[in-house]
Amino acid sequence: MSSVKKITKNNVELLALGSAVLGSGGGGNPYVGSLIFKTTLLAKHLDHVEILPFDEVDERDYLICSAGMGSPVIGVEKIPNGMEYAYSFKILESFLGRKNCLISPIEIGGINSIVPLITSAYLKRNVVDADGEGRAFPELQMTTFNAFDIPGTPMVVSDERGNNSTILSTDNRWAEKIARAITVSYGGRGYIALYPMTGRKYRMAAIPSTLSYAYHIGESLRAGIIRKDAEDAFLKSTRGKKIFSGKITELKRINARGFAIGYIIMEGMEEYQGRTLKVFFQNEYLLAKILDEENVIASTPDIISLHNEISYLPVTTDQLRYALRCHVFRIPISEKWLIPKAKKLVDVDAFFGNSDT
Amino acid sequence: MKIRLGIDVGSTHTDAVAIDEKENLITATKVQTTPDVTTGIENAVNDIIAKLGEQKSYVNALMLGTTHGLNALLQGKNLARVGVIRIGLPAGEGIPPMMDWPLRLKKTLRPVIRMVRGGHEYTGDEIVELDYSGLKRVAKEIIESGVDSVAIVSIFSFVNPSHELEAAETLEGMGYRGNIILSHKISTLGLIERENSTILNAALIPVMERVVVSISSLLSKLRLDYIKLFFAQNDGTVANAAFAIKYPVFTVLGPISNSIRGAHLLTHRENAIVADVGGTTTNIGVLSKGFPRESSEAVYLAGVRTNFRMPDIYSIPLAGGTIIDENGSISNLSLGYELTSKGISWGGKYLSASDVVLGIRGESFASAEPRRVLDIMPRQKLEEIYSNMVRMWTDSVDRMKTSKEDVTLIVVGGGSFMLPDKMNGISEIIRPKDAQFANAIGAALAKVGGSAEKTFSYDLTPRQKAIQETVEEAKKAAIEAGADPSTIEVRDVDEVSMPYLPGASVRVSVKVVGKATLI
Repeated sequence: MSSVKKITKNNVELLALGSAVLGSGGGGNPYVGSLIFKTTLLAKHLDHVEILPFDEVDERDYLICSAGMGSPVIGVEKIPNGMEYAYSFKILESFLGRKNCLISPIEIGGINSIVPLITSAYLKRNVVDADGEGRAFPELQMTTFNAFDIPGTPMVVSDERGNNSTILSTDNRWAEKIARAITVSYGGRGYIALYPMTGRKYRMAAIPSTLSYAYHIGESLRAGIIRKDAEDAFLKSTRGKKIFSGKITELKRINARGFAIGYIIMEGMEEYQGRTLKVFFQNEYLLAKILDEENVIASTPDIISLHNEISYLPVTTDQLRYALRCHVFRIPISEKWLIPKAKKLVDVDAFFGNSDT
Repeated sequence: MKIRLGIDVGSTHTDAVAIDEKENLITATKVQTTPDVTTGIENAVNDIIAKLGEQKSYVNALMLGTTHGLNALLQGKNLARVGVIRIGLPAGEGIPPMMDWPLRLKKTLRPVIRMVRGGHEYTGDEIVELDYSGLKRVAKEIIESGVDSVAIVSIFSFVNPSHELEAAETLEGMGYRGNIILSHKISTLGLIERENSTILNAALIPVMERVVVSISSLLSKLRLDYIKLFFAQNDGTVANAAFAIKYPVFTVLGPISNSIRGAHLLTHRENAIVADVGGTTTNIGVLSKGFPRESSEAVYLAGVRTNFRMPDIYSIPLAGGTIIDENGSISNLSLGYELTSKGISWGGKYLSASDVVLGIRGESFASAEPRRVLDIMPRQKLEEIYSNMVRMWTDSVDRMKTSKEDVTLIVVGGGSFMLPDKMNGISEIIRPKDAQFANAIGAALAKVGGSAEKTFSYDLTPRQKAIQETVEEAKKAAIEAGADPSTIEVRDVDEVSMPYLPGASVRVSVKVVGKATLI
């Protein structure tokens, strides 16, 4: 896999496509993100932003993650002006008394893989080719940074008006809780700068080369779709495994605690004929098991990606419907998630275990 | 006696029917659709009036389902010059209006685009106060630019429309006399999609004006200028000419919904899947409580991402004129209206899907000689092709179902004879009499409709009050569209909870229908 050096208005769609895959069915709509990025390039008379390879991060560098949080549904109506991300970033820098911090994605699924590029176009800083999740997760404490005891705060949340809050918290779960409440009071979307850290810590805790990885997946999938060998191209670029093909025969979805929670049941087709798969989701796909055998064949933190039978484009959880025919893939996650302390943050219990809170 | 005319513009044929008040089909006609569409409609009107003879004096209404709007967008012809006012700064600037439109279409509209401060949150609170002085400055610039229509779009206007209403008042107060379209009248969630839909609507107004002028002048040439003109809408209802001119996007897919409504009227079934098998495509839609089920996804129209209410349709390129290639594969190409000159059964050289069916069944049909098919291909091969065709239809019907249970399938359109009598997953196949005129019949018998969609937080607005407010708005729309107020009834109230929106947010959609005011 070659690393991506520049993102332009022409290739941002490939990054968005790969990010949709790593979103594991969630992560928000990258369509809005790509359009804001293109608008920003035009407004700033830029034709690209630069991506800094992970290896070139110096121990003495300082990094801050740039992202958006809140309801994706509100995000398609109350679209930001584009400056909010950079605004939060600058406020956090001045709070820390630092300058020229590098920009890092916090996650690499959905819209938040595009956000750092928008921040970069405003601040003329490089975006680092790495992140803290290697995919998308719904909450701020679900990062490898947290697993390495790096505090998410001080963090800044702002809105499109210029309101902003600086949060200091005792741990990252509290950071999530407080930031979530502020985001709701700002009208459902918050623009955040968080997880400030030294290059030394970053090199230890971040998942390297994930922007390149997302871009590579998007590029391979697009080329594969055109060449009509999408599946091979996809499996090669993700090192993933196909675990099922089938038709959705049942869909249950409820909205609770600000999440879309539910499951689908799929009846197998082709070589999976005669078998039945159940996939659970909470915004993102979390768990896939073969019924009858009660055999779990994929579960978070692995990425579960559903793809349209014909177009091979990723199917997000909000696009699920009866009779949709999909291929299901399991994509391995960075080994940073496999150490017990990290795994606990994002395993099945982290989602279903605390469902009463 | 009173007679209604129904006209439906299809891709190959324009059909017309005359129906009396007891819903009897008096006469029908089929002419070829012309590239300009209008000539085909005029031919159909002339033809059906001639067939009615003396009875023509009983005609009091003409219901028309036409593709003029869609064609105009695809060809970029006769569109208005549009002004766009978006209210929402400091939010929204990240994606300015018309950012990702196809360049050619955008240039055709020569838009004047302005943004001002204002707009609302999902709660209905203001993002910031509406900037009146900014609004006045923008209004002045827009008026001076001489645009034909203005689209006004405010963030979360479907929760709180007040800033759009104030902007319209400001424009009018400053002397603007052109058309003003407010986005909360067009659709709901999704700023870019709603804005695009509103702009398309503003652009299409002159197209519908021209249609109304040409049909009206034809009717007065025929000394029938007392006939009321109505247009088929995307939701299976009709609206009078004035309403259709103001809201043309609601009629762009009128002909498709006509077939679903026609299937309902011919069978009196409330719920079923409807397959409209034409010359080039089979359109599969869903009849739900007597009306077409609506699509919930963003739909691209002429390359523009939109979200106004459209029928949920799955189209496949398999129909009467579909060409079967030498290997027996079903191609994407169609003979279209040339079927009856180029199909093998009619003495031509091409094997079409119709030929396959006629050959197997040995039926003579529309002057066809099916034995010619058996001369070039063995029966067994034909059966093999036919089973592939049936598989495609079965698959497509299955895609439109919402659960595993077997459903009723109503088959309409000129190619409806081609479907088998039994299909997997289908409990019953109904092929109504006059199925080939289902679309025109659907138009002729349609009621006048009004719809409204609003989003509420049930924590803030009690459910009963929310529904009542939406019903009132739908009734107002129906009256504006030409419904007799005393006949209006609520056909559907739909509540969809909005995922991720805090505070028990629910989108309430209401559809009402009434009889056409014909005096």
